[in-house]
Amino acid sequence: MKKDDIRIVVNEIFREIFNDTSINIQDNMTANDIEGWDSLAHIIMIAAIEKKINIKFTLKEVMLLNNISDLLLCVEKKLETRH
Amino acid sequence: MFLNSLDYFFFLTLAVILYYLFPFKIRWIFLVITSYYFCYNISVLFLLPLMLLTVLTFFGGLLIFHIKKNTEKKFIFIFFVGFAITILFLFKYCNLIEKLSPLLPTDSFLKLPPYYANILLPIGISYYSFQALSYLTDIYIGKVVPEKNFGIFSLYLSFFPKFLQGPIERAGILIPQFRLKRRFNYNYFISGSKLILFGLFKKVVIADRLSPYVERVFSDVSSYHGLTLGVVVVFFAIQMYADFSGYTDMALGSATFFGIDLTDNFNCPYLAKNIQDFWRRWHITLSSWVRDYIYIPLSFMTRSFGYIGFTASLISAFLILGLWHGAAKGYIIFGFIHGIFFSISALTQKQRDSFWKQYKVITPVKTFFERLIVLSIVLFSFVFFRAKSVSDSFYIIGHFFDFSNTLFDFRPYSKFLLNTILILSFFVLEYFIKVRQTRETQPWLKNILYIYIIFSVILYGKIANEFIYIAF
Repeated sequence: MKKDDIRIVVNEIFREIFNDTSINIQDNMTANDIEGWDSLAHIIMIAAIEKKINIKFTLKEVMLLNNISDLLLCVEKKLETRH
Repeated sequence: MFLNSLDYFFFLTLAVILYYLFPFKIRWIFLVITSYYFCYNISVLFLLPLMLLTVLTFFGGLLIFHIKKNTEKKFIFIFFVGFAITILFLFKYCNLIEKLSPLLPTDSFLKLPPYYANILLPIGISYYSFQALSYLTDIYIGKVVPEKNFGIFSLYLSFFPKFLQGPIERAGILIPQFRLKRRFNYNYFISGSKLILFGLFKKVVIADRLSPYVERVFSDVSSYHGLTLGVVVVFFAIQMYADFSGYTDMALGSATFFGIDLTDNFNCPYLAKNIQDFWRRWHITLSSWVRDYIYIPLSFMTRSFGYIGFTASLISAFLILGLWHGAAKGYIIFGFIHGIFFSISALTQKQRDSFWKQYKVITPVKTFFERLIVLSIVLFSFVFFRAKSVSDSFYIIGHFFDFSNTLFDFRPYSKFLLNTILILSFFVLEYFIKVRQTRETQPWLKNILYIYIIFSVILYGKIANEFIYIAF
């Protein structure tokens, strides 16, 4: 999966979870920028990405996520190591 | 030496003058000595857990960072975290052991020596031990690199403005600030002075004037009923906010004099629109700590259980948050209530949003009801937090609507009118200083507000009580 494809898939997951079709994720976006991105939505989002892209995050990786850029980079690295 | 004492103001003034007289390179040494003197001045015994945790965390952090093999790294991390928790447990919660002590055989090694009672609950330990735990965890997950300067690291735990009651700072935010070269800044001095003044007003004019009311009713709840009990719970909520946020303002203001920005712990919490929002506004550094180091790991590990895993993780996290205040049933129930309502609120957020949309409720009405519900839950939980026993809490809740004799008993509320006016003035000040932020307020109005604060502190201030959160 290419970098742009990852962004599209993750964006779709965000739109679905936050029930908002206007969401366009940006690298510097954090939980403060998306309405409804709370503690429950955060874990649902992590689980949805794992299921959709067929990857498994580690706790360390999840604890290090600060913004969208960290999330996309983490997914990208996981896919790279899989190939 | 507490932050609302005259001693502290002399100490702070002298410390600020000397700080800027010293060359930049040795200022951090001066701050370490000043902070340790501050702690020593409260009690020499309190230096013991502080020094123990400082040495343990400093070397633990370096070891965790330098070990490359994952299994060894994990083992060392668990060892040092366990050690830090043990120190916290022994010093803070050992009254539990003390209670168990009579059950043990007389020659048991678990029996506490009699002198141990003197070092129960060293002030500040709940705050700096949580800083130590987050420091070790952040190094383990690779979020920060360990501090190599032992003195600067010790300052991270002992920096005196935040030593007694937090905020619980993260290493990545606080430690780099001790290295920044700063000159005396007039604007910083003014904003720090304003913070200290407003904090002092909250503490000595509001919290300490409400304290006798709260103490009188809560120490003898069965003598009261109806509105008298309802009013005291509201007074306690105001007292607690004024007390803790007052301390925080004074801590932030004091740190500003040294060019250090500490994290604010409050953002108008009683204006929260749901429980999640409340915990983003109340004791922010503790709630974010519990979120990052307890809730996220737990909910991540239980994510395959769906909503059950989420709810269990949340309730567990809130139970720990309750226990952080002390090993009392009331605090555990306080945590449990928030865990339950937080879970319900998060799980029903979408349905509630569609309900408001469906009935086309106008925003001010919606906001009013949302705030009213949050406030009711918070007040309900505060009953358990403050009452002397669980049975007292149930008495208060059971007699809220008991208007059998008098509607309102003024006996415990001396100078009721004056204190009500002062509380109302506090709300006005909060609106202009916190809600609207001072920068939006006209300069002449700002001056009037601060003149009012100064006169209120002089005329109505009560410098007598220690801060509530100092006991946690």
